[in-house]
Amino acid sequence: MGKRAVFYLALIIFMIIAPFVFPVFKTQLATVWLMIIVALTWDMTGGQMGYNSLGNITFYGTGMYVAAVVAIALVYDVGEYTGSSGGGIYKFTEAEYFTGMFLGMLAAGLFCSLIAVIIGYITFGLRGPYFAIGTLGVAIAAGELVSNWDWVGGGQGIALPVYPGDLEYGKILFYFLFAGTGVVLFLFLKWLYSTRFGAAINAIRDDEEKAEAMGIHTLQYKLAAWAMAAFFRRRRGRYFGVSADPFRAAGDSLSDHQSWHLHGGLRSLGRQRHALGPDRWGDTVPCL
Amino acid sequence: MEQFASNFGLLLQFPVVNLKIIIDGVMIGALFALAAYGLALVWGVMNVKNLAQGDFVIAGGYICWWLSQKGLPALLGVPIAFGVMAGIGWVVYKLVISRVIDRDLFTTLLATFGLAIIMAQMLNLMFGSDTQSVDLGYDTLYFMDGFIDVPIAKLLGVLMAAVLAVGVVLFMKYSRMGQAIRATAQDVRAARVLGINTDKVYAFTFSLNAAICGAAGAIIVMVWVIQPFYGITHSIRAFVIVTAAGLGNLPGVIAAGLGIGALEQYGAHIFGIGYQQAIAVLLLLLVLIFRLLQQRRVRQSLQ
Repeated sequence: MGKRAVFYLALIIFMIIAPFVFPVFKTQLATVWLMIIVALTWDMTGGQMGYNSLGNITFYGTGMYVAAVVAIALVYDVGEYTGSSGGGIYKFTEAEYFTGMFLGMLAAGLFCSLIAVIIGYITFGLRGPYFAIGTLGVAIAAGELVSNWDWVGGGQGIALPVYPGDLEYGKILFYFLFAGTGVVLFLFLKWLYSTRFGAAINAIRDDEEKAEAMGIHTLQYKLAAWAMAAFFRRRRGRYFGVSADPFRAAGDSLSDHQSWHLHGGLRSLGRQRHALGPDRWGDTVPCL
Repeated sequence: MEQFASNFGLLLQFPVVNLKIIIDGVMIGALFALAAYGLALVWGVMNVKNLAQGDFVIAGGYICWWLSQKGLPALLGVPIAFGVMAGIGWVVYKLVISRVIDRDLFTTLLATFGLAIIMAQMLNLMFGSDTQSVDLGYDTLYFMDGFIDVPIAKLLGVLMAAVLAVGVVLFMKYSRMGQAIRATAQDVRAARVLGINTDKVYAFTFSLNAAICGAAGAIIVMVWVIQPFYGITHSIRAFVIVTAAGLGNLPGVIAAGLGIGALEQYGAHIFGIGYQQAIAVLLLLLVLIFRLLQQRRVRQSLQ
């Protein structure tokens, strides 16, 4: 226990001092936490439950859009805003910005859990390759439909409100939002996997038929696990969308939405399997 | 909504438009069926679900497009794309697929998904993200008072696809390698016991698949458009077709391919061309749900 406690303590200390010790890399450090969150949420269904989803990125995109729309809708008409591509015409005061941000975060979380239940109800009858490809299909379909939907900016995407005040402080705020979510999620999962729920989803992974025969209502467990994963995942989506330093906002509005989804997918999967090279590879491409 | 309704009304008002859409869809569907046949081949023989299928198609298309930019006749691009993609397929097998083929399902899916993204990005860097096509400069035939237009280039494309398909089927049936491939698909261990080098068979199957895709892509660039990031939609189409037809059902693959092509054209007509990619993907979900309901009736899941 001693060694492990020292390890966790060192991690926490590093987490807190990192953005101050390496001030140039704040965005990258935030991205590291982002990917930790992605990996942990993917692990809930993919690792613990044995359902390999290629479409978790749907929740990333949905969360980002819901959060952005909520934040904007509090102050302006969304269609008008996206019609002018942000354009610097619309200004957000500090109060408007932060209310929109936190309300958007909450709304995105609840909405994504709902979406997860609906998608899950359809797709959890699929197994193995069909599940992976079906969820990938959901992600691409969502991306394609949104890029045809002018109200949310179509293929251009939404140019997000710019952080009011000093951007350097903004970056620190977003870093700690990511890091805080990461720590909370980690502790939550550690607790969750020690409960009966954790045992049940592991049983589903090992042998779904037997799990069912033992009286576990598999569909309910699967839906619950996915909804929880979606809740945390889109929260992370929300933050990322909000960390709209002009650079990121530009990347967001310029990149074709579908490639966003796919790069996000690669990013999350690469992180999870430690298989696909440097962490930030997928991050830099859409921003170009 | 009104737009969709009036587009739909047009179909009822002028039945001949239906005929045009179906002809268009069937001609493009023949090419989808070709790529789907390659997928079914690799799936059945090696049990690898290749998510990079569509990117092989697009790569073949770019080979043909690049050659025609250099002044070579575009029709020559089809056999060249076939040959080059066979080589690329072999290299990909040796580099990637042979290492993951014995692993669990998700590792192979992930490896081919990564491959798909790498290929799309490479094509993007090499050729830019514009849509490209090759104009053969042939005439267009008109029927029914000009309501139905059939470009000769498209007819030629369908013809070449048919020749290729027949060639592959005959090859699988009569050649020594084709028999070895079918034997491996039936029972790997028995094939090994009888002296078949299954590793060679796998390498050959994968490169044959890449070659079929490459040729299909070279035809697609002549009758339609390509773009580096269209690959994933082609992969999804191939999956839709194989899932709808069932594995190892060749007439089913052809029928499903033609049907998907026609349905997509209908969707594009009613909802607008911007939704064509989305429709291809939504068809996947519809097919999966339909198969799922079929299975549920006998209390089974689709696996």
